[in-house]
Amino acid sequence: MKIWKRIRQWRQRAEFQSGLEEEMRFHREMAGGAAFGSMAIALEDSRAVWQFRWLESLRQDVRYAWRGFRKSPGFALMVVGTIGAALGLNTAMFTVFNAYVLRPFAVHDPWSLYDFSWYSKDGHGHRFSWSQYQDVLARKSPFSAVVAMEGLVAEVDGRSLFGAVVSENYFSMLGVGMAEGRRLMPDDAAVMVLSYDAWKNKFGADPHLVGKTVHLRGQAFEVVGIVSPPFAGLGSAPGGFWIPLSMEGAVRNERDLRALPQAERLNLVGRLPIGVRPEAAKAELAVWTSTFGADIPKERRPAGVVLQSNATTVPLIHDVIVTFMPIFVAFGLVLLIACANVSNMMLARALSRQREIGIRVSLGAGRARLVRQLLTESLLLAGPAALLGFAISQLTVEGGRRLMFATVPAAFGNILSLPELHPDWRVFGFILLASVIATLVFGLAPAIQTTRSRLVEANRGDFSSDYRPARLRSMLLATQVAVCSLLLIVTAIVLRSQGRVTAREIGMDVHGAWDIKMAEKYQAAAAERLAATPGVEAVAAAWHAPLYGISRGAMFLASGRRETVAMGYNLVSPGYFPIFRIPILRGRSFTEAESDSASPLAVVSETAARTLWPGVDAIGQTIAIPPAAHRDPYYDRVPDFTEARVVGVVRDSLSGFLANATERDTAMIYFPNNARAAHNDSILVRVSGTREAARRHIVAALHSIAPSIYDMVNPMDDVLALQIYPFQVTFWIAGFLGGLALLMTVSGIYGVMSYLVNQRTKEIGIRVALGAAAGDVVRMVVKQSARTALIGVAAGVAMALAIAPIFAHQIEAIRPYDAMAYGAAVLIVMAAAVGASFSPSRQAVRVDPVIALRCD
Amino acid sequence: MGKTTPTPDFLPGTLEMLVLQTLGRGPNHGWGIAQHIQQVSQDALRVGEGSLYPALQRLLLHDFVEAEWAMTQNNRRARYYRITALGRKQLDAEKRSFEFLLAGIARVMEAS
Repeated sequence: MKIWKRIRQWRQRAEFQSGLEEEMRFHREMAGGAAFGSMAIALEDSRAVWQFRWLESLRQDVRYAWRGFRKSPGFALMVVGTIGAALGLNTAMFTVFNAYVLRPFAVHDPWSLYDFSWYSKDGHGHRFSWSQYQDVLARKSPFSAVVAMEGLVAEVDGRSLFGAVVSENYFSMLGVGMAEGRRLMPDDAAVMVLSYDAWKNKFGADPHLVGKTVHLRGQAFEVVGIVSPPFAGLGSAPGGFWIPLSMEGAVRNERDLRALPQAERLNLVGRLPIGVRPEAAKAELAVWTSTFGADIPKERRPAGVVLQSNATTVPLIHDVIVTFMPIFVAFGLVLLIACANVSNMMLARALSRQREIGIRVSLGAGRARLVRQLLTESLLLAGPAALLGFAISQLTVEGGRRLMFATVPAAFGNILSLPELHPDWRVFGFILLASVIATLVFGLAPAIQTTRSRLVEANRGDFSSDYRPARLRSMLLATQVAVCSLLLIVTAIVLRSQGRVTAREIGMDVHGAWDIKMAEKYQAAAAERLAATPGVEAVAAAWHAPLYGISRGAMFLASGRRETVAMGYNLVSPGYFPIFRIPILRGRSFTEAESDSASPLAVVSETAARTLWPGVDAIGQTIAIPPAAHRDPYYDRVPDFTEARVVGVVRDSLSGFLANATERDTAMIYFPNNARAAHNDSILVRVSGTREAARRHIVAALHSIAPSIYDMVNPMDDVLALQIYPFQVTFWIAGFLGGLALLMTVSGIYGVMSYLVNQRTKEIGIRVALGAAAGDVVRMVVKQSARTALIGVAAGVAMALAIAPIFAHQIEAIRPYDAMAYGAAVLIVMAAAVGASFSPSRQAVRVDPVIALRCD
Repeated sequence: MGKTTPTPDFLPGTLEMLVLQTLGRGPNHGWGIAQHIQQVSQDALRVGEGSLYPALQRLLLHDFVEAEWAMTQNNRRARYYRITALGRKQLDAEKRSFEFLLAGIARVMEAS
């Protein structure tokens, strides 16, 4: 191989040199002084045979560029800083994307894992029941192995953790090893495996944890193993504990999952053997699920199967890409602005070098060679920019993580957990690729522009010919302004949506109300114990606590009407209304006795009353509840009676997803409920006193029943805040990007305008000499900037309007055509554009015609 | 890409052919090669070190010759070049194309 010979030669270059010299000396002596030519050139030419010519010219370019940067370090720093910041932000975003979408789980052969579920004719997604799971294991399924799991959030000895109830083959099928102890085994009962992270961060890395007893939902478990890191389950939040499926009944309620054929609670993940295509597996599963249908009403029969890769937290499918796209685009646009900015700076710099480049062209420098040299310069700037970008991305990710923990509503801070966000080869690859693309974007245009053959002018010695790539420059500037406007419009829209959600009248007083999520079997005892606790004003049992973002609906038939109406409903005990201070407007609430006996009664909200019985008094009317055939006992829970009499009307309240507040969301029907009933989610209480004291009282009361019986004790204030939180986060990110874009655009406009003023010094001098007033000069400069800005703003608004339909009608609080938001953003951008050109215009005013005309 | 080292006295590539032809008679050092070419051509071709040594490097790079330090008859240390099997093959190929070229030139010159 020649390349190895060349490299060997280069490594032994000193030896080579001395050998060659000796050879030539010998030659000269033999020639007896009648030598010809220079020995140095002969040596040089001999050496050159072994060298890579391109390497040599690259070295020249690098040396040359380095000298240039040393001469104007400000320029180099500005470029590295601008590109570095933009690259850093993009890499930070990619790091998060990578952690969720690209990095596979730390299991054996993650790409053969598939998650599957089915959906019914009415469009609802379904998980699997125990008997269905047994069926898929018994029959010939397309999978080589299937694991079943059911996720839960609970406190393990007072530590909030995500976890899962899993089939005993879980760890062996996934091929996950143990850092300590053993895996789950068949016939395991009250045993638990913890994640490495939970062991380290929640249990203080206790070296004797394996073998100890911990409590979960009042049940004692023996810790038998700690999983090898970094495995933390297959869920979207890192899991902390795993218990065997045989314990499902013990931690869920009295009855075993195996005795509940209708409870569809199991998520199934299967491993496809090599050679089985997912499409084929899907078809086979569809055949299997179609056998479910026999005893189910028509609209709930299986209609299809969903089979998705379970290699990563979020599968890389079309929908996910579409969801991530706006984020990618927003970050990418900031990078584009940075590139445009730098491109303009390089253009301005290249123009000041036109004399030099002209001379080089006339001396015979090839254009390709010149472009290569200018690109080398760009690459040299991109290298440090990528390094800086990497550092910034690390800081951003860490800072963002801390900010998130610091700002998330306090009650949820301890269950918030993020996947590992360490950079891996994908992140490095991304920053490398991004910096190369950025370099081409910001380096290529100026390089091509400035090396346009100007041999004629150069030969004439005319280096100051009016060479201005004005079109390219204004285009770059207008692009910047457009992107900046787009980002600011989005920011303003998000801010206004957040304002709308925050200002929303929810019709409830949540301050002082608490939601306790706990094991079902202790709920009755807890309700009793809490009612007797000092400071507790009211206690209620509820199927669902409000404000968690969802509200369940069903079809009801109101008396005097022919058609059923879809409406939200809940099952609550009478304490619910005083806890949230929801006033009873007419009639009455349920009595405790009616609640305990689950009497066929109902309380409706104002909107529900108005919708179901327009113009008629709702009290005394009846609501028919359709029969419950093959429904999930928890998700599709309805009262046992089939007809309820309305006894009261309460004020409207918003209990589902706050960002959607339409008539439908405030229409609610309440049916009686009690703490002894099955499938209640929450025990709700209203407690007086400070937050800390209230929490302490609640936890103490619960502890007196059995250790660790609750999953979460959440102040309703925080539950409400958690709904607004995503809007806040979006606003911060959008605002940050918008602000950065604005800053870069302002500096870009400033740079270009002051460059232009410099270029036009002579012209301005003539104008002043001919009697132009200071105001005229200022107007001229500002007008030029404003014109470009206007084009940019128009393009930005057009882009915003073009993407608006995607977001329209998705969430009621988000209004993508909000004129106020558009107006504010446009105003800010225009003001910034005019402001940025003001200082250069002052500079123009100071042009002294005498000096301007004399120079050059 | 790149320019060829100037060899003003020869057609490009012919010097390498002459060197290979010379070495075909047996190993020799740089001075010996230059001398041989000059003598055989009866002083028509003079090879300077400025073109000889770069040409030798190219031959080394392409494995057409090997080099080895040895003693001359006068007990001086010198680098001896030896043609390789690959070099012989190359020499044959070059000879053929050179003869083809010469014949072509001759035909053109005779035609006029």
